[in-house]
Amino acid sequence: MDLRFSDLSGLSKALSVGMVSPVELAQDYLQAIAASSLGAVLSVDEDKTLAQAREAQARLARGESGPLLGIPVLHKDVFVTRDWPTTAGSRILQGYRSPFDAEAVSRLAQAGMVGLGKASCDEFAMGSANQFCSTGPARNPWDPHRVPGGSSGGSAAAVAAGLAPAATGTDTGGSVRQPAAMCGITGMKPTYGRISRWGMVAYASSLDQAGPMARSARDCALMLNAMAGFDEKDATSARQHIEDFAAGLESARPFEPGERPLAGLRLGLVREYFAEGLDHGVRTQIEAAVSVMRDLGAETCEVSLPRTALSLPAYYVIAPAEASSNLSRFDGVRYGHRSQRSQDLQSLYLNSRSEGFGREVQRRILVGSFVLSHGYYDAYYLKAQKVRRLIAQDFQSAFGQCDFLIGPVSPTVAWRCPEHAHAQAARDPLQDYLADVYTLGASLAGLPAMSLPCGFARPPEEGPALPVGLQLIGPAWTEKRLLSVAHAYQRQTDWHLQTPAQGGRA
Amino acid sequence: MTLTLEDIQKLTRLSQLSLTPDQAEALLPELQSILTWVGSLSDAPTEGIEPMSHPHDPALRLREDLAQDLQDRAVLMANAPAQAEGYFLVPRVVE
Repeated sequence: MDLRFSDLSGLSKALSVGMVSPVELAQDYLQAIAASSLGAVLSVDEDKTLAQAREAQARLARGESGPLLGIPVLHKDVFVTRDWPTTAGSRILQGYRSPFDAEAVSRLAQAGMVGLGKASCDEFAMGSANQFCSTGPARNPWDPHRVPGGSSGGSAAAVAAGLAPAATGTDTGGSVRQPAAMCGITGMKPTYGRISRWGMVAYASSLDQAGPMARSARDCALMLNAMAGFDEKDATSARQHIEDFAAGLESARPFEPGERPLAGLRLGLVREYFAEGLDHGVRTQIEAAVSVMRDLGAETCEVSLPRTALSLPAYYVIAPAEASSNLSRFDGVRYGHRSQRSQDLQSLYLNSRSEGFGREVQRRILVGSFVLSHGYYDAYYLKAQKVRRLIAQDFQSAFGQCDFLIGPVSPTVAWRCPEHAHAQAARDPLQDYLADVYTLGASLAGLPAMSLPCGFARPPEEGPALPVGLQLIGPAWTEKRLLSVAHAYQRQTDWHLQTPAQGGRA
Repeated sequence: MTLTLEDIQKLTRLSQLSLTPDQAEALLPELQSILTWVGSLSDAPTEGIEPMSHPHDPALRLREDLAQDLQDRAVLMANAPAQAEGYFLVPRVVE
């Protein structure tokens, strides 16, 4: 029996009754990775994976149990890992071996998850299409001529293609939600501070947040249970009380006609997320999803986030500013690429960085240096931080009228891969930036948000139907209820159960 | 805000990068278009609004003043491109 597309509960059951062992399960996925040409996985190490699987097997044999014990997981390559190289998709970190595991990685390992290796991503998580990885792009399993989204595109493509049952991702401006939407899987960006950032290669520290990517809201809840929680090693980690995010999500059966599990829930349709620029096919699917929510008893109302358009320039000032500072640590001295062309210390810095960083990363570092530089700091950086406050206030007043916000994740389905690397490099960067318009707000405000598969839409050009993602955004620390709403939707629909092998039903 | 090639050179220096003249020339219109675009922020009224540097505006946390175990120096230095006797090696700085 092929378990590769099973959810985590199904895998856990198969493991506990001895239908399959952790070693066999890990081998199945490693074989699938080896046979795949999606470019979703950057590094595997069979010995390391099987050693972890044998340990899980021993824990099971000792009578230990747990919903994640023995189940494989793939890690985005921005989480540092002892067992695999960590490159963050960059040439500057080629071959880097971390002396320790990221906190999210070690918490999942403690829960018994077996690491499969590292997933492709945009270099330093800077990108919306996973085309900026130094070793090559990743592709969308629903149509390999299209992008998987980014920056956690490798994680999303791998889960969608059955190369892993679950993966970790990171979200700075939409990097978990947008690839989850484009690959038809479920992904969550928790509240800022919910999951430790310790061991995540930093992009923009006031925005970066780790998140689970899997087949369902329930699977994300199970992973979040292990990943979340206070960590003293991260100065921005929050002391929130421990909740069981998966409690109450056990049943997967559809509701009976007339059952109204979402009665009392008020969902706000964000007016600006349905404005011009939203692709017609995407809109149709989102509207259908909203009406499923209504059938389940939710009330809906229209709300406004008037500063939505400003979230784009605010983000593309703040994130590059923080990146230019964070990435100053790469100097060719302590770790990472060192140029062989250097005669003195200064040229060693310059050449190592210029050879090591890709074009988009250099672009963002330069923008960051500009907005932080003398004479422009107030007009750009400080101004963007003030606008960030206004954007956060917009969310606050919207949550005065509803419990959660609902809308699309991305204005379009996955777009075509540029034919050549130089075509991608020459693509107008603003075109990719605009694709983040619905995800940046929750990132700037630090709020939890999810992407759920909610149907398929044909791209405006020719091509097979592609997944559409529904976004739910909540007030800070409401992950538990957010997941329960997402789970109710997934009990009633089967979009999250579709796999690329069958093709999307438009 | 109109960028010049001299501005690009200055930003390149501040960013500790090095660009060939061709690369600088290619970057000029790209950065110009990004900066013009983010410049639209200036139209937003922000009188009296406090800058927001962080989602939770946290206070720095204190911890007990206790020594903590660090990883072995050899392990931490294992990724260095060049090292000897516990030091990172760089090109000669003082002649």
